[in-house]
Amino acid sequence: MAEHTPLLELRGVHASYGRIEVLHGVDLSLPAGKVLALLGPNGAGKSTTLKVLGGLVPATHGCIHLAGRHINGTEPHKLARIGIAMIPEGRGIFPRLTVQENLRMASYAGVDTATIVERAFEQFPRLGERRGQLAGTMSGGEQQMLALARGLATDPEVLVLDELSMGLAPLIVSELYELVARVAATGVSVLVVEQFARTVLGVADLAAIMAGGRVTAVGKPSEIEAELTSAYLGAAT
Amino acid sequence: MHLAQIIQFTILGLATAGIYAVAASGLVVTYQTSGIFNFAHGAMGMIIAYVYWDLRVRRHVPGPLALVIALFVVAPLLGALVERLLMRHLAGSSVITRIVITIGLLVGLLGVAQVLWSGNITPVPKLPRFFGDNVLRFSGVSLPWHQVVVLVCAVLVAIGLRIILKKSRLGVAMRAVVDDRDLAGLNGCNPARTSMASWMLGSFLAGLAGILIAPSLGNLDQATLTLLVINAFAAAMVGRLRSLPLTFLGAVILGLASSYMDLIGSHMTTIPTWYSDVRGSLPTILLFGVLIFIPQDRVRVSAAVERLGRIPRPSVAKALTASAVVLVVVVIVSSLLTGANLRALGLAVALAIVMLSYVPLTGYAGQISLAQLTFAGLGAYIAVRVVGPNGSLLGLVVAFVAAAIIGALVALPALRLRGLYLALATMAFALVVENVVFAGDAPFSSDSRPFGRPTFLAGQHAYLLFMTAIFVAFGLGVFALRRSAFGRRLQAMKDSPAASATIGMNLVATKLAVFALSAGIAGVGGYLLGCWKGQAGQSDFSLINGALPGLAVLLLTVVGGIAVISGAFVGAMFLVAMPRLGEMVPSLNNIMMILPGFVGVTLARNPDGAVMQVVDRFRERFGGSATEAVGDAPSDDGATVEVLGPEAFVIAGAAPSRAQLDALGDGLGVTGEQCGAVA
Amino acid sequence: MPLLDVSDVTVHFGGNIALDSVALSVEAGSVTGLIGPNGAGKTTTFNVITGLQPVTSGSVRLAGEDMSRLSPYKRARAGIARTFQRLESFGSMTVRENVLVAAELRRGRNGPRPGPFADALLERLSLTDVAGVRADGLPTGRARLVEIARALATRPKLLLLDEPASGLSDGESESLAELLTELAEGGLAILIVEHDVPLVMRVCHQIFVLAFGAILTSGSAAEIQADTRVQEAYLGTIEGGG
Repeated sequence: MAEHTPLLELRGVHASYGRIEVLHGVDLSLPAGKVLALLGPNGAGKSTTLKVLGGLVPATHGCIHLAGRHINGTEPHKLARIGIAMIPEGRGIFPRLTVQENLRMASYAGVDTATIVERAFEQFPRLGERRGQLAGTMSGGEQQMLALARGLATDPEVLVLDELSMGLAPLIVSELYELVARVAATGVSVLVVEQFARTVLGVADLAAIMAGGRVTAVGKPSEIEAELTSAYLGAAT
Repeated sequence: MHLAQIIQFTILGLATAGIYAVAASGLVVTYQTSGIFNFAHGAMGMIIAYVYWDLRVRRHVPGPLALVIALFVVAPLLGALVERLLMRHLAGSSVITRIVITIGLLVGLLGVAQVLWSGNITPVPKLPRFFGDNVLRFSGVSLPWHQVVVLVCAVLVAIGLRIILKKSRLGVAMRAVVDDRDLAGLNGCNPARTSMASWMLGSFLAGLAGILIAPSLGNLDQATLTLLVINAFAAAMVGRLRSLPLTFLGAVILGLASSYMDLIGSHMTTIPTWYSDVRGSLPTILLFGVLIFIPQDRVRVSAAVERLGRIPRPSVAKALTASAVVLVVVVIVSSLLTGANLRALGLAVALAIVMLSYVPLTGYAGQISLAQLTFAGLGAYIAVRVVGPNGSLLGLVVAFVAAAIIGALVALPALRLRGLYLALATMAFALVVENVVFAGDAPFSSDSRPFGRPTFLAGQHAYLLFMTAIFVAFGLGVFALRRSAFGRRLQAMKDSPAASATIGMNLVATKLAVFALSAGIAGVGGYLLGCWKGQAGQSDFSLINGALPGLAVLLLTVVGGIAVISGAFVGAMFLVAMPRLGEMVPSLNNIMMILPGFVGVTLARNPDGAVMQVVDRFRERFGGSATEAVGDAPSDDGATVEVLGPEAFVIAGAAPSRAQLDALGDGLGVTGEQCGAVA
Repeated sequence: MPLLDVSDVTVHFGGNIALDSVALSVEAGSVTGLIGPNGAGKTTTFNVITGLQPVTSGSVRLAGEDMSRLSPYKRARAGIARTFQRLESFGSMTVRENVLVAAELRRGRNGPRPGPFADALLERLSLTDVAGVRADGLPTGRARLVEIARALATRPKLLLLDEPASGLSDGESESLAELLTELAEGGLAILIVEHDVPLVMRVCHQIFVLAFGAILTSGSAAEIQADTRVQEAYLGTIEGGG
């Protein structure tokens, strides 16, 4: 284990909305350069875990470390600047800004606009064709491309993806995850929450299952996959 | 009319439009970048115009330097302060709190201006026009240079805003923060700093508008100057508080319409009163019109979770005891008072009735109205016209019925409106009534319409007791309402319109009923107020001008506690006592002028009002049982609103529901390894 | 004739199609499930049935009567009640008041008196102990039961439940299942959206699967569980990872 010092680590993290606690001690670690899929039923606390990572929800107990650095309580914009690129659930874009303006916003994380735009359009030529279009008027798949482009072009240490597939056709979801796999191959660590478990297990190095505000199992995708059908659809098969 | 004349009035109209455009674009910028509609926009413009006057005329600072200090130092500083001290703390607060905070700021800034620049100040505040009275003449048209400056400024603002918002990264960030504040943070942009920048920009635009418009006033007057900038609300509304080009279009429509009415008026031998009244109220009429025709959201599942206020529900015994206490206290205190102090106490009791009208309307049903004092004035005016100057108890009935009918009529077009739009529509209604109805009646407009009392209530003490009894009766009525089926319906409508509709509640009928009821209560309060004073009129029932402006009435009701019956009484006492204290103890005068506004501003931290806070403190100290409430609403994570995913669209906000969040117990069936393996 | 008949409903949001020719029906006295992955259009379907979401085309009929042009409160009076996925309880009111206000709105000439009726519902849903508690102070599981009690207080013919089991403990989930079965036996038509698929499989007579805004398939629990398309809709395709 020693050679795999985790890049990102959560230890005993608790979080609450108002007085209702939803995370009851989450332990999770993401080794550098790996893809970790976080699975589990609705309401297990997956999105909240990601929000804690993005600084949007404070952790009431526990510690969060990024590359050995303690990052509890750091504001979202500072986390973004030290290398956590989070694409939130829904669409991680500004609908009333143009494609180009969306990419310009990404420059706050530290990479200059010209570089971001160049990288994004190279990776997603379709975005280049629509640079002047309002992001909210693009198709769902294109919006997710834009969100991903923002995350990728800013040289993040960790890419955090929440339900990339929401409302998208299977073909587009596959395309997006192929891309995630390519990015991971370049050494970026990825933490991904996804309802289409089989799809994401195809690209993940590790999988963790959450239930009841805790991580209940961690393992290789092959170990986890067998349990999926019964977990999601009941014990018929 | 000659062509040259038409050209001249067109250009003058465009110059007026320019001022509206500058003022309105400032409003739109702050609303768009912070989600807060700044009712104090006009007051900020007024303060900056006064600063400019103070520097230039009073302290003889050279014109250009004074201009730079006022617009580029004082204005941004004011904007930054407002953002840092007030607006930053409003995230997740209710629409009512947001509205009341900026109204508190408005009232507070008016107080500050009064302290700094009122009374026998020398020289008389008056701003010169730019380039004095020099006139530009061409082909039969003569145009004051000042208007040319105004036009140039408007064009520069239009170009400047476009460059800032479209071309600069800060401008893109400002728009991004409105689209999705959290996401802007995730991008690495600091939303708090961006908001501050936009408040600085908004304050600059308010100041510019104030300075441009001030010379047209002759002598400066704080309330009038504030109102002039408020006229720009209509232009901002044409752009639906969103589009700057449409806002400029709205300003042009407004400017030209006013100017052409002047042109037509200049050809009339005698101008009828209604004509000049309509001309004067054109911006507010337009505002009301735009609000009514603007496309509205339908009932939908609530977007952001706001903290729900507490609505106390005292026992019958407590309510009766409180009623008795109010009666006894008023009897005892009034027996000790004479003259001006007694008059002030009576005024407070009458106002308490007007304020009480907010409890069912806003406290229970969550509907916002800035027109309650106007309903009071209408009740008083119509009742006195019907029953005549000789007192009659019938007047109370007339006041109730007339105000209730008008309340329902106003509510009818406003029914589709919610929150901010409803507040603006009732404000426009209040201003139109004030400028057309109240100003249109000769004795009423000069505050000298006689109101009589029935002979058996002619004495001051008898009448005061009578008013108190009516307050107590209405208070008990509202108390009973809270416990009735109708009261439950009001509260349900406030908590969740969508759920109310799906259990079979007719929202339209319910809103209509509560508007009528509360306008009726206000009408009775207004008539009593008139009878108490003996002579009353416009300035007793005015929104911003006058001794007891309507905005302050709302403000202090909320301060007392909008859902608390005794809060209305306490608020009214404050409202009347503060200026009275100032009169009696001159050293306190300044504080008393500023206090009402800034007391209102503290609401961000205490939305349930003063009475509830005192009760809580009392209970903390002396043990007593906690309030019935189990606790505050768990605050959800302000849902991200703009989500284009199909389902999330109607639910507005894809943030995980409270349900999803702590939901579990799902048959995932994985029991396996413990998380220790991870560490 | 089914009690609820949704036929050919299409809903557009701007350029996106949220629902695409959705047709489903619910019989009186039965529990029908509506399942599908997140974002499939389940809640939108509920909003269409209750009138909160206007349709681009298609119709909603209750007992043969066209509801399509009626406002939400008229549909409620015609017998449609619902709960919400994102809780919409009347948070500043007590639990009892939440139920009472609904009972009062449906007070009929010869119906039960609202007070005792509300109390009986609270009893039935085991909420009596929290009757005097403010609704927004309840944990989610119980708050969901309050919404169910409130919906039942309108004495509906059709009950729409949006994720009623989310946030419930295993025990609570168990009693919810029993309650649904009992209610259906009493003649109520129930349409339920739920992520707890085992629960759905157990209580539903008929299940519709919604994916990408369209009905993918429908059938009995056994048929649905055996359908590979349903598995794909839920879990994604394996080759997707590439």
